[in-house]
Amino acid sequence: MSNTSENPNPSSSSAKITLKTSDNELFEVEEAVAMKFCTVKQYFEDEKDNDVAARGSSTVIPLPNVHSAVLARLISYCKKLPQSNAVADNHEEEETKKKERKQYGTPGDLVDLISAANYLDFKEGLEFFNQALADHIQNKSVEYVRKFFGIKGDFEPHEEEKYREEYAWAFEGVDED
Amino acid sequence: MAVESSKDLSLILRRRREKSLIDEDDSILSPRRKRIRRIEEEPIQIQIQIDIEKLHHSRLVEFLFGFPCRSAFQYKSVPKRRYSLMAVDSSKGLPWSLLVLMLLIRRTEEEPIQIDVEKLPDSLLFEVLYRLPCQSAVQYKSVSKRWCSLISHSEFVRLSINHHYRHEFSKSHSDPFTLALYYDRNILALPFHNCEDFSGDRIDFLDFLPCIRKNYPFYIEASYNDLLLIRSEVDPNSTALQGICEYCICNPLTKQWITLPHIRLALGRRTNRIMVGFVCDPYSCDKEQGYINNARYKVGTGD
Repeated sequence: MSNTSENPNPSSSSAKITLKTSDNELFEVEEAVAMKFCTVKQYFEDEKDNDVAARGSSTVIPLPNVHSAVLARLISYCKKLPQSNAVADNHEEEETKKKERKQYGTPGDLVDLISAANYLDFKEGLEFFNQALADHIQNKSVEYVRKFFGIKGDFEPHEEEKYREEYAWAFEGVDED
Repeated sequence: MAVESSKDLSLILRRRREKSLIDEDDSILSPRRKRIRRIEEEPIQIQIQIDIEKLHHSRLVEFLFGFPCRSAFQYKSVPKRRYSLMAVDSSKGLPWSLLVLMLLIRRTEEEPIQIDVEKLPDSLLFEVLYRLPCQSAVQYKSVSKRWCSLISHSEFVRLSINHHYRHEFSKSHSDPFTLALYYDRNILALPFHNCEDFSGDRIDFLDFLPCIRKNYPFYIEASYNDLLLIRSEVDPNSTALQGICEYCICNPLTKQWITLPHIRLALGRRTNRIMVGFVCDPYSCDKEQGYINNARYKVGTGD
């Protein structure tokens, strides 16, 4: 984990912050990474007044809503952030990003990641994971989406039929499942 | 220990194999791949989850790679050991055959498995939904009442347009901000940007209107912001309805429309001499019902 040699300015940001997950795993991360998580940042700032920050890694920040497996992925996502977060400015780039999103994780993972990123208030991550999950279900049929997410349709059959008639255009040309 | 565990594993697999039928296209698959298929085809039960804990590490890794990737990752709920195994061993040297197998599964595995998206709170699910293309979003209103209420939310359109404008408008020329020129019954749609597959004569952005789906003659009479006032003949082949026309106000972007009451035109006059005005009040926001669009229209004959 200690890659301070890569850091151009070790004196200011080589500080480590320790995060504790719901399953009591300890993660020691660089300050720069931890500060991406606004919840952690906020915690840090609140504590600053009490001069706890000065003690650095001796402070353990508990994250009771985040599992270690999820946090590990969030941290690794954080580390490769700079390249992947710019808005694509051409078609090709967008396609590459789409591919990257598609391969990033299973929808089940993404749901976990979204919940965790939301709890940590990690904006770039949320953006990416939300889009990745949306990519998984775009241009699919309603039946596919229901099956995919295990949702039970709760409309009356005639309500649904009426809707389908009225918005017939939306039900055309969806991808094969 | 390892021997014993692998016996467990092969027992389970054998039982499963006996249960399942062999279909023809299996004959081209390798025996190992066949075995994997068997597992994929049946719901994986807790029985395996318990047995798996007894397995030796190397066996477990092999076993885990036998699952479709999606499900393998799903099993990280008990997972510390399993998850770290996946992470560690996929980066270290794996037997070549296993890697190939893994890739094969990654590619062929398309069977959707259930993901508990319902555990996401509304605000987060909303974030996912407004990133969907317009067509999918409208379609998914019928998925469930919860989805319908989220997609119908007054903020949805605003966020959706905002999002697609920032990220995706360059992909398709039917996306927002297309300029449509109307001249002598021809509609020329100019895309917002220069895109290569632009044909110039297709009009498909009004396909959602019932009168256009029925191929009735129609005219775009007026526009205001993102709304169009469309006049169509009711049924050109019916003499009883001759001279009656129908106006509707539509939004090509959200593909919503309302039909105005029928109007009987003064007989003997040429329809193109009807002058139509179309006035909209600015958007008014109602806290309970979201954005209400108040549209007023006037129709009169011009001399």
